[in-house]
Amino acid sequence: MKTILKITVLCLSLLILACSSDDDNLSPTVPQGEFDQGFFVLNEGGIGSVTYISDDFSRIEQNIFSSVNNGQDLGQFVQSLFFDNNNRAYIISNGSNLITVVDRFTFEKLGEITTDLDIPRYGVVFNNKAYVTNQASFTTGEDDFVAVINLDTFEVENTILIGETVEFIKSSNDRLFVQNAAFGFGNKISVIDPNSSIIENQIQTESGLQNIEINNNSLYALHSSGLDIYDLNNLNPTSTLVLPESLSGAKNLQIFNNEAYYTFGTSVYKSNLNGTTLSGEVLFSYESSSEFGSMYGFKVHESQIYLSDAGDFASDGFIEIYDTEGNFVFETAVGLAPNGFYFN
Amino acid sequence: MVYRFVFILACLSPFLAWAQNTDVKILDTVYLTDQQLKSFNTGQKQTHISDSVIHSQSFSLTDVLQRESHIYFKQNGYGMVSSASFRGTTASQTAVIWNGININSVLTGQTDFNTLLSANFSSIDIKAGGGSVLYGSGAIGGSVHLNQDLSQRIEEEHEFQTGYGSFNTFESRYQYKNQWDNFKLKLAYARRQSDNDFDIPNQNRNNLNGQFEMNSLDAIVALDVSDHHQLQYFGNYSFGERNFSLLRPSDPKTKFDNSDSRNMLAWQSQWKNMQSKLKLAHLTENFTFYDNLDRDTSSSSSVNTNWLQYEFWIEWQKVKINAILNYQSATAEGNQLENAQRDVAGISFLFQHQLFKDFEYEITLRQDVNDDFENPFLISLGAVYEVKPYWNMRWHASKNYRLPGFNDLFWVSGGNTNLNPETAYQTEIGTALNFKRLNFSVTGFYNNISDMIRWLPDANGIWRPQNTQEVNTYGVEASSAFRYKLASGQQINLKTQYSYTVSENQKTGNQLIYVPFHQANANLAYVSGKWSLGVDWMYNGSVFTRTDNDPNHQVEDYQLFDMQFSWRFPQLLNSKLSLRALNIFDLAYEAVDNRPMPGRSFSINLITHF
Repeated sequence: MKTILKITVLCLSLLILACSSDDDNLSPTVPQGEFDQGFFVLNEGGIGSVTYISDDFSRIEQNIFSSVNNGQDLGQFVQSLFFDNNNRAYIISNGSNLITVVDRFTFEKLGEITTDLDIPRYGVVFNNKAYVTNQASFTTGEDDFVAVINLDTFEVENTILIGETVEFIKSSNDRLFVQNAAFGFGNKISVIDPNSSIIENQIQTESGLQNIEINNNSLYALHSSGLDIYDLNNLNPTSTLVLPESLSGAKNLQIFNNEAYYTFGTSVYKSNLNGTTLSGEVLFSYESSSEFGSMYGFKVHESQIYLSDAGDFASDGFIEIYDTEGNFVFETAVGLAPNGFYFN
Repeated sequence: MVYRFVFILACLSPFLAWAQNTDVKILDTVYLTDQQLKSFNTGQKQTHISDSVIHSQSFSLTDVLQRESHIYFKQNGYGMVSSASFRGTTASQTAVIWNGININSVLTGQTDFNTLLSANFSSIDIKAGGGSVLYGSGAIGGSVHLNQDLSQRIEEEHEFQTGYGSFNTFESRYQYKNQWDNFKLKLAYARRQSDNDFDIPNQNRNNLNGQFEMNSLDAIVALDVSDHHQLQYFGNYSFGERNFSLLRPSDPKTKFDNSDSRNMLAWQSQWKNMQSKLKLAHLTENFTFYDNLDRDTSSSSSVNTNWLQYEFWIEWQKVKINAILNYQSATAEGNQLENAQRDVAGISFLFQHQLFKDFEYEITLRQDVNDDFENPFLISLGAVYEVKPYWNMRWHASKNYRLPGFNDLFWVSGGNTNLNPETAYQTEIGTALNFKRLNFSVTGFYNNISDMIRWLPDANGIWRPQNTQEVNTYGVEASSAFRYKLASGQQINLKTQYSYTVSENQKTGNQLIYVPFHQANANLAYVSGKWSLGVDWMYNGSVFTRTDNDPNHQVEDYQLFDMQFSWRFPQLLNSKLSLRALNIFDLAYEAVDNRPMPGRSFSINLITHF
């Protein structure tokens, strides 16, 4: 039995985090709290934790949620975090069916969402409501759904049954996009009209869909043979960049400054989006103490590349930071199984 | 493969017929199927737990063994999944032997000690160190032997025990045994159930979703066909339902149902200095795991194992020889298993010789035959030297193995059929002093385990089991027993055990997680006529929870004190009434990270015989 639990946990741990776009927050010069002007590393756990690192790297604080909130914890397997427009951060723990709400600058706990969730994974805010994907049963995708959460009451007020594997969720100006693919299996993207809560369209890609991203009125989808770009106005494909066969299975798509970033093994690649192919040339590689848990989290933010390494999942992981030319900037140890970066 | 054995048996049968003509009966009729446990143990230390000790503890096999052995248990919350670490080894490197048969799960290779009740076993033996020649896969750290024996002569007896305690815990068992001429029968049923909703003071709540119930139905039937032949049947049916405790109130509620059966038929024949035993067994394991009780979705697996063993024993002057042919065939079905089937056959040869009056040695060999693996050749050597009548020295060395479990081999996404068995080389040396009032024993051991199986992601990011790790374990075990008669009918008994264990990953040099360096227990009993008072003490040293041995991530050490007061009423159905208090100082502790354990608890218990 133990093995089965373990494998379930391992499978969960496999999912790599993508990050919500929150680049529109301008950093004010006056700190709005202890954890302003820096970024968070989410450590999945076991029992999850959050590391804070200031922008100048002078402050590195582990386990800040427990420190600020009298030793409380975030639950099992902290999967992801999203922000709303009222300076609140929502931390999703998939093993505890729990979303913990904190002030994004002080990390004081403001509330929690504990009902009507079933293995919650990723969330996004649209019109003062949060939309959170829920995996439900491990054995089938048929019960997967999106929970619609009222951000005034912190209650789930509606659920949208998707009926297929759900993973990342992204928002455009008027639509929500749910990736119907995980573990490198699946090839669909559900398009939801948030006003009617109806799936109005489903985009089909090549097999092995890894990530979706939204940037500059385009939807990007990285799959096993390339990168598809769709026009958000009509959801028509505009172009496809072919991925070299040797990099099939590349993941961790990020779009920054008209360039695509992605990883394969312990290497990072980047390609200009105006071309027809994705580059097979290594931008940089980092050394991982083990072959597993590498690139467990990955993010490109304001001309810097952030990556995390989960080690053996039974001891603390680390993060490394590079510039967009691949020059090393910084590294530090963080918590257990670091899986994502979020910026204040 | 099975045909080969039928053939061998057929070849042996004329010999058996010849053997029947000798009519001198010397060997005792011993209804003990695990006879190797008593006969082939030169150089190794065994600990015996009698039925009276078993019945003075709770029905939990974990509870009994924690207080009576060197084995460390990683219990995922009280009553939850409980796995053993024996001499610093992993959970699948302790073999659990039921009447001579290895009953570790075919799927996981390990035993969850909270799915077995101790109450119906007539004794439990703990053998430290390797035993793969005799007991097959997994007997690396040691083995736990669950025995159901019948005595020579049985009087009709009903035995009834019932108890009630904190957290709405009920324990009851009923046993009936009788003999009609050459037919003997023992039937037993035991049940343990608990709400297991103990307080967790520092979280201001109760333990949630921790309730469980376990049942054990057992039978032994023995028929003396003639002076030379007995037929025996042994049966155990264990079934239970157990919810898994939550870490946080919002966690999904999960539940685990198991039902496991073990049935064995044995035909035992003995003559002047020879014995023949044919044993056939059928074992099943079934479980269903509900991953969310609100949703009622589940996954399940079932395993069927057919097991056949033929043993031939011969004793000649100071030499004892035992040849064993063993064949087992297991098939499994489940939501996540594919083509799960395995046949393993083994041939063993055991030789023991009392060379001098004060020196005995034994050699055991085993060769497995199997199509799927490199077939290990196993060997063990042991010797005992009696320096003085009260002082002996012993030595033992062995090569042991563990076969990959079905989950490792046949898991639908990731199973790896190219795995090798884990192999272990070990040696130990010990000495024992046995005086009238005092026994003392100390053992040093060393164990090198390679090709250990771990689940790691492969190049494509799919988690697969691989033979990667090498671990060295070494340490010291010491135990003592002291008995002192104060006056007529008054006695003091003191038993102590201590172990120091290093279990070192050879790649990193770090101690394995959840292996304490220090572990100890002690039991002090004062008996005066009809009443007795006992104090149990148990200490588990701190354990690392992270592979880098980060000192900030440890489960702290803890020591528990239990007390028991018993009063016998021979005139009233030969009864005994006991009052028990566990964790009397109400210590708040964890056995596994973030898994709080119960504080002080009480129970009252009555045993009657009629």
